[in-house]
Amino acid sequence: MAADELKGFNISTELVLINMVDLEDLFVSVLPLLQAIKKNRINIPFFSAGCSDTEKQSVSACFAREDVPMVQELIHQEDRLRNRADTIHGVGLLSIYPHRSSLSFLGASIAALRNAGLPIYGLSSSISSLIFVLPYSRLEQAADSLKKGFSCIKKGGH
Amino acid sequence: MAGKFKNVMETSAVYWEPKIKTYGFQEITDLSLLEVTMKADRFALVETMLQDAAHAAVRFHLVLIQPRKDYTAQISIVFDREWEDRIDHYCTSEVRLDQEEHFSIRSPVGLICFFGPHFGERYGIAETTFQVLAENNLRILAAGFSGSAVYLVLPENITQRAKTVFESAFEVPKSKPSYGTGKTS
Repeated sequence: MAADELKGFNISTELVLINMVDLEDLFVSVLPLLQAIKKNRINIPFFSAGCSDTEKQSVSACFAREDVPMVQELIHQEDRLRNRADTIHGVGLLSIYPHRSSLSFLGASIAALRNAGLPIYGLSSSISSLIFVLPYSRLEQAADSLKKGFSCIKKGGH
Repeated sequence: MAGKFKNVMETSAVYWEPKIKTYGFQEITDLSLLEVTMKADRFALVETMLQDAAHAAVRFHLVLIQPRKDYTAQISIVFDREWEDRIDHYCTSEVRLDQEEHFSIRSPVGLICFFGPHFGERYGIAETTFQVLAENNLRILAAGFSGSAVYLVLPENITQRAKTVFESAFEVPKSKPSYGTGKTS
């Protein structure tokens, strides 16, 4: 199936994921943190927010390892975030493309990673790629699992 | 600041200009936002649903997976509103409401997408985006910043206003951008 062809990967450097959950108001709780992050010239390679539920909003963000002590200190300074942040060290981003807006491409990707026993810490689609947050030490395994999973589809074995 | 940068790789680069350059903003409307919350070990449910929807030629505009509390995760999918009944029917029959799973579909929603030069390396994009939203009292439903692109999901009735305020806050080229599929305005 041409629409579900996997044509390429990108693997990031090692990052740290910080999840903040059960936030009451994204603008009140997260905007001051983003302002402080900008002031400290810290880049955010991956950021997602879920805010349709006004009382249980959440944010996930990845940072370079060297920026994490500063980011944790900034979170600690924010009363609304201090006890709502979980840190997962040793993560990386695996970008696969092209997704062509295909739900079966998405489903096959999730299935391949799940069948390999890989925890998916996060996902965001971008212009042509799906970007997964996965354990950094297992990114090569994830790439192999995806290659295998998509070659099964190509052979009609999915 | 010297100490802060001592561990940065030599290939790392930082770009900065006072007004953030973009390739323009795209607005897509007449969409629905599906959110399913489940334990991570129930992702097979999503795979089946996606295969079913794919056979019906449903396509996505944005997908996010986010961790929630107690080992649950939320998968959010933005798709064309014409598929809402089919997706709703599937979720109603498959999502186990008694097993801490739940789903919701919101519509109509709109999507604002933009990207620009150096978005992967430049700090301050998320802050500027949220500052603009807060200053204009524009409440978003979901957001994804990755792979050098920014996607914002909003109630459809404020999408046009959001696009207008972003075009003032960011630098926009004269020619229009082109991004994938979808009904655009």
